[in-house]
Amino acid sequence: MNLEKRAIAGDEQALLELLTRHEETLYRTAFAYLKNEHDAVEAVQELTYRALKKIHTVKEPAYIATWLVRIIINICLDVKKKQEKFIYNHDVEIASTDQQPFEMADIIASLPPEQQELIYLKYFQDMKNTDIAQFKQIPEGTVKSRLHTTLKRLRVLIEKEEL
Amino acid sequence: MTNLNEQDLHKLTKELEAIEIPKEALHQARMKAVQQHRLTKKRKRRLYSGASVAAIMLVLLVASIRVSPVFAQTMAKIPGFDSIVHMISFDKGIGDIVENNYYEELGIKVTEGDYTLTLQGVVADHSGMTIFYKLESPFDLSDLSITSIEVSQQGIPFGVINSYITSHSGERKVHEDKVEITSTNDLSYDNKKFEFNLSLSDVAETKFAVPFTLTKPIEQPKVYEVNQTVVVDGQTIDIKQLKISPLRAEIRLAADEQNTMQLLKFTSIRLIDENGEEWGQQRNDSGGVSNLEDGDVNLFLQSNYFRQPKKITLEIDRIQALPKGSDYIEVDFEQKKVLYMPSDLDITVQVPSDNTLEVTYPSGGWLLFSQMVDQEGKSLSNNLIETHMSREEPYVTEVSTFDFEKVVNPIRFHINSYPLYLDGKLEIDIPLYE
Repeated sequence: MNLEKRAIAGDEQALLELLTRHEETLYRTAFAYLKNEHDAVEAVQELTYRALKKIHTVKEPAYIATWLVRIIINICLDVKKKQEKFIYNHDVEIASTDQQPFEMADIIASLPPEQQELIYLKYFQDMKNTDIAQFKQIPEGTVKSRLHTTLKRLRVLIEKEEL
Repeated sequence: MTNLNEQDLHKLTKELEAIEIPKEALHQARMKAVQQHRLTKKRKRRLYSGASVAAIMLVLLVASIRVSPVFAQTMAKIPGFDSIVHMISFDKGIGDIVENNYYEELGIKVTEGDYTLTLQGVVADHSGMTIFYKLESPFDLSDLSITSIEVSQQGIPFGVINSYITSHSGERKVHEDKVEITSTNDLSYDNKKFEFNLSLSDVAETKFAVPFTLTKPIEQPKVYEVNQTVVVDGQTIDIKQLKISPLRAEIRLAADEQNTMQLLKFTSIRLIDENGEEWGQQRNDSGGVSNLEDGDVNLFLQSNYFRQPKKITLEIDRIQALPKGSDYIEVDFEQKKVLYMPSDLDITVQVPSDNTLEVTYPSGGWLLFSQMVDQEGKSLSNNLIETHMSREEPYVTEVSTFDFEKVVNPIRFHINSYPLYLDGKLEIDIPLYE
């Protein structure tokens, strides 16, 4: 049995092995959202926990990596939501500087989660449209049009940012 | 225009690639999550753990409880018995015991601190004793475990307590259960005064010591010497004896030493009378099978003690077996390494720490391992601290923790049950004589 299948069957060690293999992508994705090591590491911990709990729900072994990316995006969005609340309550504002790193990541984060996922799958996971279609169980044409909409929206957001 | 965006995305990719990966911190984070996950799993399943380790040959995998309406009605007529009907998986023998008035009501109630223990009743014979009890408290019992149960006769432990459930999930204030005592040798009732001891895991470590005395006469077993040899799928089995007591019928048999296969659990055994009426396997505790020290095997069946059949046929089917030599795994805990593992079996073994073993296997109906021995062949059955189990059909995962002080690695675990079966069944007539 390959690693993915064993992981789905409940083999803890196999899942950990997979998480280690994909740790760079997963950590970087988390970092793009959270922008500091501490929070990104915590997001990976939460990801590991959720993955252990839910791995048996994965039907297609080939898409475990994508599934993990989706979870980490959700975790990061949850964390950000909490942070925003915190900032709001305490009436603190983040000073904005001109050349922030990962500026693009912030802009992506303001897209709806569905579209964020699409961007990460397509550009950071280098997934082909056909693979995304299969993973999301939608026609390839729909992937194309969704990507188009997403990029258009992204462009609008960037222009706003540049004003 | 799209290109512009793609360049921006490319820039982000570059930025992200420049980030250093804190490998060690990530490893630690994953390990923490594993611990966290194990803990929640543990909480959820609320297991059968136990300090009294000899008693841990437990089985969660018993067949679902079936109580026939007629049986339930009969039971409900008896004072104190109605509430425990639900605890008895349908056993014809118990039905007969009740109908023939062989159940002895006790109704002894003792309170210690926050807890009240009631001994409801008992069925006793030379093969064993089954005691029904109830534990109550004004507080929730779900976090409480029973750490030990013992029955003694003049201060000496009486028989062997096969298993008991030490804790349950779900909030409740009443815990009702039965304790089954068995013995490979005939139990003596020369002295009918006993003491029931039960300890709890609460902060005060509440202990009960409840004396009780039996008044009803104890029935003698009916013993039939069979001594017949049969061959199933090339494997020779000697059927030695059938002994019928009120609580259970026991078949004693032995596997021939020349056999190529190691026989594991006997999963389908029946006694059939001249009218085709069947008495099946007892589905409690050890699953109706116990391995005796001299290599003999005892199979426990429902009892037809209170009947007078003209003919009894024994049918044994679905015998689990593995080729000799591939019926164990071997682990070196010091090196956290699996040294031997039968390659054809769908078992995953992990050694997460130097005293923990995690095995995942397709369920054969019972725990995977029956006994473990160290390098010198010394039995380590008292070194098991606890076992936690979880199920994801068709697999079962067991995580066991051991006390390995003064133990010489490697450790060998003998397989007790695995869902591979001999091809064929055996059928013999038991010569009846009084």
